[in-house]
Amino acid sequence: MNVYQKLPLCNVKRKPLKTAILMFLVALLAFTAFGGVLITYSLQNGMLSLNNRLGADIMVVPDEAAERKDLQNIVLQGNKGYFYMDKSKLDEVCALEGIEEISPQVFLCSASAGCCSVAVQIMGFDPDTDFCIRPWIEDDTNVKLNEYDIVIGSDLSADVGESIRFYDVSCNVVGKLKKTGTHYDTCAFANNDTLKILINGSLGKGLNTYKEIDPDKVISCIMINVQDGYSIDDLVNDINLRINGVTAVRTATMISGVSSGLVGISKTISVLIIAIWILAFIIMFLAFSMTLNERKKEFAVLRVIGVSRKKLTTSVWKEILLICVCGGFAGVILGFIVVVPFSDLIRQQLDMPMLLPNGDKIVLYLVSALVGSIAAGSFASLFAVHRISRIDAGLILREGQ
Amino acid sequence: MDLIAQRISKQFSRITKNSSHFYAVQETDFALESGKLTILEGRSGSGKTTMLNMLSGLLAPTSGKIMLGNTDLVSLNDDELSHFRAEHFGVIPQGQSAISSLTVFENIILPTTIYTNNSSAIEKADDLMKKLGIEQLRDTMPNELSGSEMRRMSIARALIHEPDVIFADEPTGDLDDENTQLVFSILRDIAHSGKAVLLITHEKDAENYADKVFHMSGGVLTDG
Repeated sequence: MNVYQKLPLCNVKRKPLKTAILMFLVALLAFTAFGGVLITYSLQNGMLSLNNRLGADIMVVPDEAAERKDLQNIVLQGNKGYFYMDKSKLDEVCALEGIEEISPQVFLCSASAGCCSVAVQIMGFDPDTDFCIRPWIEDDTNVKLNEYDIVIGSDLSADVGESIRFYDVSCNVVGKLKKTGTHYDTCAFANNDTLKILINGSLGKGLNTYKEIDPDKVISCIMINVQDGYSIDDLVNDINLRINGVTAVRTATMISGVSSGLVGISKTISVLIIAIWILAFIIMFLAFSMTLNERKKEFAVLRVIGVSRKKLTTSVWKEILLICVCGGFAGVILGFIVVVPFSDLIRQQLDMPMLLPNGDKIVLYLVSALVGSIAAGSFASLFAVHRISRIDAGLILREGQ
Repeated sequence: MDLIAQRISKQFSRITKNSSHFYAVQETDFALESGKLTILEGRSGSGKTTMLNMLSGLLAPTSGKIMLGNTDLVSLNDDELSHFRAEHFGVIPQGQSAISSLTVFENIILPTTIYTNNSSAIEKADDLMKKLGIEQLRDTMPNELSGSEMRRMSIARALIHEPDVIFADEPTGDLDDENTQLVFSILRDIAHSGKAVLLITHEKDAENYADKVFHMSGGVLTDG
């Protein structure tokens, strides 16, 4: 590379402060675009994941659980908890019209005591009728759950083949689920028979809140999918009117609070991205104008020694592109470092389901943010470059006497 | 090669009581002969630099032709004119004119690298730096140079590609007497080696080195 060819590189390298300021501005654009879009998408993805995991149109729970918002706390907030109702409620609900699929679930949470390896939410389901958890387990692990078998969420530290103790009952970890970005990542899943054994264990230890229950005769909630042609709202009303002691909740309504929170966060992030981009764009416009303007005598000298307008413009563009590409890369890498490894922390802080997209999508967002920030940086310098290409070398050299 | 200007003039717009424009250079003929050091004298604002800018292709004349050999500078487009300037002209502009991100050596050889890769330029640059007394500043950055050193660097840069015509616009402005004499004598030697050299200066001593002297006053060029 000869001296003229390496001139843009020399300008970038040998003026570190100016270069650093301009690179920082481009990096800011890339960081906010990539980080913001990745977080927003991950929240939407998490919401979708939660919706899919709930997998039912209606959930039926005991009245007291609905009043205390236990269900929302367990399903949406990821709090540990359990509640029970008589199993006969399942038969009563089954008798109603318009039900396509119905299946009971049983909840328990392990204690932070010596009899339990780890304190987690444990969810039991009926493998014969379940349509929420079983398809998900089959998709992820393809295992059949027998008694004492459990499948665990991705965030639990045990591995397949290991055992976990709940109330001194040893359970075999037969599968580990893929990450969902929801609190399900810290749950354990078993069939209802295993749950009965565990509830018995908890009663035996005196560690169950409900002292007088028969594990064979209780369930925690009923999941329902409504038949085509029937209204979900009508069935919810039917259950609430006809069956005593239970409350039916439409899952869509239950997660609508989270959804509206997500809309609010997405809007805030979007506004922040737009505000930062406008501000950074204006600063870059001024910064490029000032830095190029203060070098106009150098550009005049280049014209004097035989550099054409076209060559001068190309040289300046190379310099700007170098700054924008380096700044853009720095921004997206920083965005990646901040969002990807700390997504769990962000999820906890936002208290919302958050699931990072797959690698392909992350790369797509990364490349888009990179290209966008480079384009924005280049666009901000357009006016200054145009002015430089039109300079009157003779006049400028006279001005600098 | 002689540089011949035929009936060139330069008009700028400036609104006054009587007119909307003024002539920085009145219509004139001019010949810059090879093998001679030509001096252009005159007070500030007399049109000397405008004349030099027109002759070096930096400023398009309002009228007239400027010929070097068979080429009319006025008829060339910017790409052609720039290439032509890089090949045939060496310009020492007024004031400081360094590229701040390049070392002294890189500044000097820069003109030889715009359109070609001239390997002999390195040797030539070392030679010129030695002649101008700046050989110890080879890898120094321009912001570390004194005014005199910077001026000598721009002289070396104008001479590096051995142009046919050299334009020097007050090249000794920041130099002491010793270096001023050195620059004049270098320019005279270059002229006598067959190049055409136009020197704009206020230094009275310069006439001792000149082969021809012109004078400008109010945009009018006269034979000194």
